[in-house]
Amino acid sequence: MISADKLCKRFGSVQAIKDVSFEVEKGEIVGFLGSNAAGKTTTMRILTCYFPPTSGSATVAGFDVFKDSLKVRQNIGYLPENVPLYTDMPVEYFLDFIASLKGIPGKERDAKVQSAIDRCGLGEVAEKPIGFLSKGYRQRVGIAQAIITDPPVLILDEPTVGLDPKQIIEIRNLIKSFGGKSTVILSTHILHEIEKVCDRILLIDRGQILAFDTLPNLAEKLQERYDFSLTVTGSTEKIKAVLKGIDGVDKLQETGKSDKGIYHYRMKIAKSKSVREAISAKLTADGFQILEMHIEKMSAEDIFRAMVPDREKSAKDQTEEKPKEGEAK
Amino acid sequence: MNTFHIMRKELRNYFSSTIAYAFLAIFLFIVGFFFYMSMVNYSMQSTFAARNPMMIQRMNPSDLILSPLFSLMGFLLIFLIPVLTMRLFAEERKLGTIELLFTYPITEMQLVMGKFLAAVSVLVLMFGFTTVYMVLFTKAFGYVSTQIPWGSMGAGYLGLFLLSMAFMAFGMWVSSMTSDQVTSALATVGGLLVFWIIGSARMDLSGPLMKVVEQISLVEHFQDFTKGVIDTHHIIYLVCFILFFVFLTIQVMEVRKWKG
Repeated sequence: MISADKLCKRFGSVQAIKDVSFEVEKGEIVGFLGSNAAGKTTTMRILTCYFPPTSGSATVAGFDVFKDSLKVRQNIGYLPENVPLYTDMPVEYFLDFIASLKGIPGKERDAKVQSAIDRCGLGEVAEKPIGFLSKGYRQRVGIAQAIITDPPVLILDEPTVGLDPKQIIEIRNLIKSFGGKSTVILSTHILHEIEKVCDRILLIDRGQILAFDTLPNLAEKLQERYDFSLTVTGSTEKIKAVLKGIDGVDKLQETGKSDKGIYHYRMKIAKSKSVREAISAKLTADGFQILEMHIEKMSAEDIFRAMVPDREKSAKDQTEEKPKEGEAK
Repeated sequence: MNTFHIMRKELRNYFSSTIAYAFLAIFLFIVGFFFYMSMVNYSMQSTFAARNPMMIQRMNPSDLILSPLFSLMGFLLIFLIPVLTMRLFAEERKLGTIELLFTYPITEMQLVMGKFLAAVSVLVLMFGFTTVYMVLFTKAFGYVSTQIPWGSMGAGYLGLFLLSMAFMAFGMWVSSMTSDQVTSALATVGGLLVFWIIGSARMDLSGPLMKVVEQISLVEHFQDFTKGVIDTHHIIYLVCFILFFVFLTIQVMEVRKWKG
């Protein structure tokens, strides 16, 4: 549905993105993950025909973003970062205007506007000027203008930034509901958002793609050993001795003790299944009862840390270096 | 069709805020006041002229009332047109909505034309109101002279219309380059004044440069219209001026594609 081939974009001496290539299948939800100024917005702006790439090419819904730009634009819904909207227009009027620009004939427009209002939960504020709405509602208006034509491709730049937790969940569910029907690309630097919503993650840093895969696959590749936690009843000295005796167990530590001789341990274990089987078998054979055993899976945050290790802290303080409109003067 | 949708949106913006009303009110008040003063003035002079047959020859109402009125309207528009054009693109840039527009299936041409035509519509409406003065004028002089000066009026309106569209095209271009409406308005007034008075500079110049300066001046190409003269070379100049700045605005929209 979307394919990018060696996209590069320069702004003067700044190389915003370099050799960005990827393919997104129909119905997938893909998350762009990266720190600020990593190139997420630049990539999205190329895909939405806001500006063409310096070199490389991309097709969206089968059309080239440069040669068939109008056709691409007919097939996408785009929510820019910071959700720019006409603050003086009432929600309903705004959506009607957008629908007309997107080429929906007058007869069908009312129905489309109404459906977008319903799906985004804007019924209560449909008559109000957008300038009077809360941040959460504005975000929804932004999403409503993107989905109003039911486009096959949705591109959402930081759709949940600045919302409260309840609103984030609502928007997230809304986005999830588009999956399968529409192809969705969303960007974020909120890590667990990616885990909750996206099928695949495109990890981008300093304008280059570091990884593009599903979360479990990325974790699998990155993890050399599992973090393993274990809760056992018995005598701690003996348990430790047994565990240390098992090949593939490392960095064993006791993390706590509950009443009646229940001990908690953490350790690193090799990825092979036999290690876990050995732990279970040996402890049981020696008469200890295993109450709980658990592999700590890598979260998106762990993956991000593992792949973009040293710059993460400094990236947070960095201000956005995106080219803003108005620089033309 | 997209041009029409953009135009509709811009017109709504003009009339849902106070801009269009203030624009119309100020213009019509000043022009009306000036019209009233020249009518009073004319009637006083004509009582003197009644005793002097030589003077009666020179008491042509078209020259003494219409011509100065059109000149005044032209000059006044230097300060009023920027009010209409200042927000056309500056506001879109400020709000960031220009990013939305650029990613909708419309061309730069449709966008620019839609906005331009919306501003022109307000202008047409305003000129429509000024015809009231023309009706009063013909009523007042209907008995003095059997010939109503349709030609002078037509030429005056044609000139005024072309001139104000030229102002608008220029103002729109300025607006397309900034995100601040005040900057946009001031730069437009400044630019238009330069175009207006540059003709006076020809006194100090000579040769081809003088000719060029004289031809660039907007007032040079407007003055004949107010006198009731329609000269194609003036029409061509003004039309070219309009097309040039509309074209430049479209180019400013396109620049984002090639920058960097």
